[in-house]
Order: sequence, then C-alpha cells, then structure tokens
Amino acid sequence: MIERRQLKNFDFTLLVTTLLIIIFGLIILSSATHATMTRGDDQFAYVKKQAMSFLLGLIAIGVILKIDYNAFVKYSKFIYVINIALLTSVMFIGSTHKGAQSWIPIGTFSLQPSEFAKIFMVITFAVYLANREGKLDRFRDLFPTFIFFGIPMGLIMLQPDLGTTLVFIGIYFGMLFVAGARPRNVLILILIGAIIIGGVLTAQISFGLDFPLKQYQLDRLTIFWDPYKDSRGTGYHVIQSLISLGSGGLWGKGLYQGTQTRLNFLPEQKNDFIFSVVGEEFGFAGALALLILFYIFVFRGIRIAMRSKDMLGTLLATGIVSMIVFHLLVNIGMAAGIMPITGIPLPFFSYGGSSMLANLIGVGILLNVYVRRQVLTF
Amino acid sequence: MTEKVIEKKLRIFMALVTVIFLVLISRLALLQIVQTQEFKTMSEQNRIRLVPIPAKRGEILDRNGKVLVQDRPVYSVSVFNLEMTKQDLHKLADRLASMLGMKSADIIAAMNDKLVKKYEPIKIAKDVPLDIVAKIKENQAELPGVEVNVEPMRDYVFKDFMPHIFGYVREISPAQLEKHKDEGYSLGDRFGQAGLENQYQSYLQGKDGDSMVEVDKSQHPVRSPVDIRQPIPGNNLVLNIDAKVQKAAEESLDRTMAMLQKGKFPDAKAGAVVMIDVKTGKVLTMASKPGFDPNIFNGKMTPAQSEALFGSKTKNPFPAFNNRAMMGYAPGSTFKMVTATAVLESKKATIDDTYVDHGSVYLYGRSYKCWVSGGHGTVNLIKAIKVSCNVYFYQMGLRAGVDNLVKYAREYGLGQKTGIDLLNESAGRVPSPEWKKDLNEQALKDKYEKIYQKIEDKYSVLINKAATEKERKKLTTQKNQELNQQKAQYKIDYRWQVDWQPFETIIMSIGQGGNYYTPLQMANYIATIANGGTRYQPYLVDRVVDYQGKVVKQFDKKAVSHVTVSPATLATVRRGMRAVVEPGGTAYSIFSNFPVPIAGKTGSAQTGKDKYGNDKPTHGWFVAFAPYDNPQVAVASVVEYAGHGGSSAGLVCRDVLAAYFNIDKTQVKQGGVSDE
Repeated sequence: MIERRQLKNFDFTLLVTTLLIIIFGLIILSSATHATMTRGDDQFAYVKKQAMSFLLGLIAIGVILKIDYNAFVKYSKFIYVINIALLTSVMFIGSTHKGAQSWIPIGTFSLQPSEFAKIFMVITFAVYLANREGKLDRFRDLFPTFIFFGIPMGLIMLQPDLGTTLVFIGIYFGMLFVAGARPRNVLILILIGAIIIGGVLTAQISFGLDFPLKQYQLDRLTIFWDPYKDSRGTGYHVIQSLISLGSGGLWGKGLYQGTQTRLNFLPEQKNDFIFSVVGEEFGFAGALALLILFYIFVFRGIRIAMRSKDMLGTLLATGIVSMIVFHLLVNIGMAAGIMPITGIPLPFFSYGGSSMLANLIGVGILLNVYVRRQVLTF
Repeated sequence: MTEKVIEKKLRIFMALVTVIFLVLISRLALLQIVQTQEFKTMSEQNRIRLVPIPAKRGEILDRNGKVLVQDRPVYSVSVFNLEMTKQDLHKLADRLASMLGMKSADIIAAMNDKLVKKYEPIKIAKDVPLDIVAKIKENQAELPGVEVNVEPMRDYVFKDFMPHIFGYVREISPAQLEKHKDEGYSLGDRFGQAGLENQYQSYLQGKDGDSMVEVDKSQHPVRSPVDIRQPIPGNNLVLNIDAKVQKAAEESLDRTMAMLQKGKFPDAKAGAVVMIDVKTGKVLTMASKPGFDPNIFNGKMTPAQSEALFGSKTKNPFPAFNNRAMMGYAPGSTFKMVTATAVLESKKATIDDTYVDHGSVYLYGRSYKCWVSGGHGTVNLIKAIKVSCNVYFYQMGLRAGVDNLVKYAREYGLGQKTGIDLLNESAGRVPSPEWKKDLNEQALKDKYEKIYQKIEDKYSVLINKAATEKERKKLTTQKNQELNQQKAQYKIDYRWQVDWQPFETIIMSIGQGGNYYTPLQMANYIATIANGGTRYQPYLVDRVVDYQGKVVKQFDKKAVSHVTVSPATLATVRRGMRAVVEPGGTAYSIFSNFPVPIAGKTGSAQTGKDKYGNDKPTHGWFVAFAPYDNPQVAVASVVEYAGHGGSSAGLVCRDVLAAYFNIDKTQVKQGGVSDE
C-alpha cells in the first residue's frame, strides 16, 4: 500500500515527462492519421482510441503502485509461464498483419502479446538475476540465462518479429551487465553473437538461401545502406522517411502542413515512421525536443535504478530503461536511415494499445521502485 | 556486489545511452540542417505535378468568317502508370474496358507503352460521352489512377467538307519531334499532318500552359492548382475560300459524277475543280472528290476507312486522300490555247489563216483524225478554238514547233508548281525533246550495252573452243555481223525512243502525249490569259489572325511572272474561248442561257486502253473565265473517265460560276450535253 509518506518519494519529473511525451504523441498522431481519413470519418478516431489506451495505462500505473514490486518474486514463475503461453497461443490463434502473426483478437480489440512479453521478461529476468546476485562471475554461469531468455525470444522470432527480438537482446545485455556479469564476459557474448549473426547472414547472402530469414526480411535489413538500390521497392520507405525528416528543416513545415505526411508519401506514418512526422512538421527543433524529453525519461529511469533499495528494483528499472532506449535507437535510427527496417513502435507515440499499455506499465514499475526506495522504519 | 559497483555500472550505462542519443541527434542534424535543401527539393518533386493545359488550336474560317474547323472540348480518360501489381492492372483494365466499350488488352498495351514516362498520365480514351464520364466519376474509388480530363479535339465542323485543304491533325510523330525539337514540342502534342493544318502548324498550334497541381502518393490531385500558366490559343486562319462557292463545287461534283455513273460512265468516280480570282491568285474554291471526313483521324481508323482513304491494299483506283486539284492529268483540248498562242506569237500564222478540215489530215506518213468524222470545213483560229478542231491545231502545232509550244506552256505556268500554300502539289509536265531524251536515252544505252556484251561473251567462248584458225575467223565475222545488226537496231530505236518526233509535236498540240497538268495549274493558266498575262501565285490563306482578332500576318497577291505574249494574242485567245459558248461552240448548249458572259474551253483527254484493248472513257475537262469583258475568276475542272468535257466538267464549272455570281438555279439550264 502506498502511504502518505511515500508520496514524497514520488518521481513527479518522470511522470510529467511521460505525460508530455504522450501529449506530444497524441498531437502528432492526429496529424499522421489525418491523411488517410476520408471525409465521413471521425478525424480524431485514432487519437481517441490512443487516448483510451493512455487512460487505461494510467489506471494500470495506479494498480501497480499499490503492489510492492517485491511481490513479483512470488509471481515470477507464474508470469513466465503466462508469457510463454501467450506467445505460443499467438502462433495458433493469432491474426497475421504485415507479415507477422503477432495479434490475438479480443472482441473489437486485438492484443499484441509481444509488447507485454518485453515487460514480463524484464520482471521475470530481474527476479531471476536478483536471486543469482554474485553468482554470475563465470562465463558458464551465463548459460542458464540463454535458456531462460532464449525460449520467449525464440517464440517472437517465429512470428517473425525482428524488431522485438532486437529489443529483447538489448534488455538482456543491459540487465546482465548491471546484474553483475563481468563486463569482459558480456563483451565476449556480444562478440560471439555478432559473429554468429554476421556469419549466418553472410552465408545466406553468399549462397542465396531463403533461410533463416525470408528474402524480404533480408532486403529490409540491408536496404538502409543504400535505399536507392531499390527506390521503388524496399528502399521507398527509407527514402520517403529521409525526405520527410530532411525537408522538415530546422523548424518544420508546421502541424498538419507536412506534405509527405498529408499526401501520404510517408508510409506507416502512424506506426513505425511516426518519428518522421515529428521531424517533418516540427523540424529538427521538434525532434530534438522529443529526444530531450526521452533523455530526461531515461535519465530518471537510471536514477531510479541507482536509488533502488535492492538489486531487484535496480534490475527492474534497468530492464525498462533498456527496453525504452532500444526502442528509441531502433525506431528513430530506422526513420533516420541508420538502422535496418525492423518495424517496432516509438514508445508512447506509435499508434497501438498494447504498446501504450505495456510502456505505461513499465512507467508504473519505475515509479513503484522509486516510491519504495527507502527502507521504512516505524 | 557493492552499491558502488552497481552505481559505476549504471553510470557506464548512462554514458552509453548518452552516446546513442548523440548519434541520433547528429544524424538528424545532418538530415535536417545540412542536407535539408536537397530533401526539400525532393519533397516538392513528390508533391507537385505539372499538368499541361493544351492550348486551343487556331480555327480555320472562310472569307466571310464562317468557322469551318475548330477545337471542341471533349472528355478524355487517362490512367497513371502507378506501381500496380499485374493482377490489379488487369482488374483495372477490365473494369475500364467494360465502361468504355474497349478491349482490355488495348488498355494494357497502352499502359505498358515504353515511350510513356512513369508518373505521366496515359491517355486511354478520347471523346468519351458524358454518361460514361459520370459513371467513371461515381466509381472513382474502384478505379485507382484513373482520371477524367477535358481536352480540345479537332472538329471539322462540316465533316467531309473540303478535307483536302484542311488536312488533319494527329499526335506528333517521333520523326517530326526530332525535326522540330527546337520549337518546344513534346510527345503527345498535336501536329498538323497534311493540308493547311500542316502548312500553318506554327501559326495554329498556340502555346500550351500548365498548372502546378499538388498530388498525393497515388498521383491524384488533391487541391485546386497551386499555380496556373494560362495557355495562349493558336492563331486563326482566314481563307480566301468562299464556303458557299466551295459547297456548290462539292455538291456539283457529286451530283455530276452520280449522273454520269448512272449513264454511260460508271467509272466517273473522281474529279476536281479549282476557282481562282484572276486579279490576285486567291483560291476561291478548290474541291476534290471523292472526299473524306478528317474527323476520323481523331480516333482509330478502321481498315475499311483506311482503304477508302489510301487504297494501298486493294489498289483502289480512287483513293479519297488524294487532292485531285493538285494531281496531273492530260489536259486534252484545253491545251489548245497554248498552241494558238505559240503559233501567233511565233508569227507562223495569223488569225485569218485557214485550213479546210475534211475529218482527217495526212502528216509525216500517217493520218491524224479530227474528233468529228466529217470535219469542220474551213476553219480559222477563232473557229478552231470554238469547235475544237484537231486538224487545225495539228498543223498549227507543227508550224509553231515544239520549242514554242513548250515555251508558252511554261509561260502560262504549266508543268511547274504554282507555289500554292499546300504541300504535295504535283509539278505536272510539259513534254519536250530534252525531257524525252533525259527519260529514255540512258535506259536505251544500257539495254544495248547488255546486248552487245552478251554477243561478245557468246562468241569469246565459241572462239576459244574453235579448233582451227579458219573456224576462228569465221566466228569473228559472224560476231561482227551480229553486232552490226544490233547497232543498226539501236539507231532505229534511238530515233523513236530518244529523238523527238514530229508526230509528238502533232499530238502535243491538242493536249495529248506527254502533257500532264493539274487542275490548279489549268485554272491559273486561264487566269493568266484572262487578266492580260500576269501569273499570280495562287494562295488559300488570306490572313492569320490571333485569338483576339489582331492580324498577325496578311498575305498579299504575288505576281510570279508576266508572259511575253502580246495583248493582241491574248485577246484573240480570249475571243476564241468566248466563241466556245456561242452558238455552234462546243459548250454552247451548257451555257446558252447563263446570265454572265463567260468564255471557256472543253477538253476530253484520252486515257489509254482497258484490259480488253478498248479505249477507256476520256477524262472530261472544262476551263473558263468570267465575265468575258471584265474577267474576275478563272475556273478549271476535271472529271475522270467522264467522256466529253462539256457535259461533265462543264456542268461543274457552270455550277461553281453560278454560285460565285449568285445566280439563281432556275436561271441556269439544268443538265446539257456538250459536243466535245
């Protein structure tokens, strides 16, 4: 239970930053969805739906704040099983959208388990690592973590959802690093991983295989190096995104004035490429402002990890921060043409209830850790 | 693990995050500050499409301002060659095909045309009816990339009226584009392909405008134009042609040919008539039959239409596309004014010199007939023209000599282009000794060179094989004999085929032989005689006027030359032509009650033999000027395979003159048969 005294420990900065990001996001979403609307439609239908998810997320924060995060220890195994179950079920009852079978339809909504999987993974892995505090020195101590992490990650790869897989890797290394694994071992692991991935991709490209990635996935991964190689096909998205950002200039074209957005040249503008809308309509200034807000968010998150009363809290905060940072890197990097096209949402911005809810749960956990940072004495 | 270690690790973590943020920010700064201009341009290129607004092509009006050719706004349907899957493309083509009543395959073929640039609309159908346009607009959602535009289409208001003069308009051909590339043409522009449309292309075309339209990703315009450059309409042509007279000319040709076909002349299926203002060279009427409707060039022509126009496959002897007013025909007796001029001017005869015509005359070992078996009796020059006496003109031609015939034919403008403002005018031909020599000498020489060579070859083989010297000598003698035989034959052939023969002068003087003139030349020749000897360049366009009515270019009469013929001779020739329509003249019955005094000449030109060896009907000619005492207009007409000139071309000339002089039809005798 939250007590009055705990309110003093509440991280208002984090909450206000989050709220500012979300409000900014709703404004941008209204512009991004403007273009595809026809006259009869409710111009704000998407914004309203997104706002509903936001309100739901606020309630979720309230609920999470009431539970001491240490209760996660008790439910950790249960959460892990639920996570696997959800990711497995999506393979059977999931609906396919844009090539990935990632959605479970529930009434008029559809749930995207992979969004929640990230949060579930942060929680369960934090519990797992906290239990093994100080027992991660040796390289072979890391092997169990492969299995622990590998099962849900493998399921996501099967959807296939490359972007989320990347975020999983980010969460994994971020948490492992802070949890006490030797930096040297972490580096070796990263190196081995890079060699394996590089080797597999090189083999696939040089032998012209359709495995392990499908050809279109491979194209999407590599096109960002030279989008003009296929400017009407795979490269089109990247080029249009670059044009959107670049033509925004310093101050942008103004809200609703982005021609790339308004005239629909920018693809996936309410989802994966929503950052380009910010860049086009509010320019470098707007993009920088958003990045500063996110930086404050991340800074507060890491601060919470430092101030946590125990290792579990530190790891939970680290995991959530890692998740957000990786989302930012992959999503904005993709929009700016320096990361492969993997299709993951920009936190608090991209249209989608699951993502909004999951991210706000993450915020709830951060606040929870911070609120309970002091050992209370009565 | 101590708190400190964790804190240290978290600081490293924060530093990494900071690096990531800095990388992203620098990348954004590069795109949005350093390279922004480049991307702004690309963004504009994305959203702005230049849509050309075709200029209205100039109109063509008759001398009284009646609009004969104009641009009519029509709906066209275009498709953008979007990045469509094959399946979608076929679906779209099927839908469009059923709406437009076209073949789906044609639509797909048009859209796959390699010449068309991507993101340029491809025209699928023109002149689409309003109800179909409405249907397309209703179903716009199911027809991605389909657009309805209004564009001008050439409209020949009176359909098959004077098509040979107008010509037609089509999209510029690659060859024309290459030739006129410096004049700002681009693919898809309309370009005059024949007639005045071609001749005055640069005046008629106007200047296209364009509108900058903002388009969305599917290239659909989304707003009213950002910027419009209005097109400048083309200039109008005001013709010398009088539509009323032209109409009378065309109707008369049709009527006369129909009448002749019903009678003894089933092949009287083509003809022409030209009327010229004798004081200026203005062409008041130029008609050619059969005609066609130039509007068919706006769309796709059926094979049958193409055949009627060009007759290339079935060897249709009457292809409608030919402007017969500018094609050469043997002139027959209408040439006799040249012979008369030549003999008078060379002082080889006076107008009082007479011959007695018994129906034929024996000249250079051959008998030459007159067209009346009994002959015309005693004939002087005036009477000879009046009754068209061949026997008289055979001998006058011989007296004058071929060189004088040629000289005066050329002075009257025969056998050379008149310089009218229309392409593809035939020059015709004045036969002459030089012409004959040029035509045949080389061919004859070549022929005999081959024959000589053959003999040489034959004997060289034989001589080589010969056993004895004696035999060899015998063969050589034989060879020389054979060669000499052939050389003698060559001389004979040369005389007949290369050297000009008196008989050629004889038939030339009555307008047969190598004479070959266009109705336009004939009209101009008569005009020259009528006006006292000035040969003007005939012209169709009086002036070019811009769309606001300002005169851009005024064309004036242009005297090409003045004949050396004396006024007295010209007066004599005119007097002879006047006698033609007087009692006893060959065209008297046709013009007997014509209220305006006219002067004319009939002609019936031989056309050779048919496949059974029978004479084909003659081409009927008539030339005239009027009024006799103060000539205003000259007219010439020919009707193919029509028999006598007076009863065919004569009727056409009469109708044209009646229309020109505003003579009521009831005042003019209907029908009428001429003697020649």
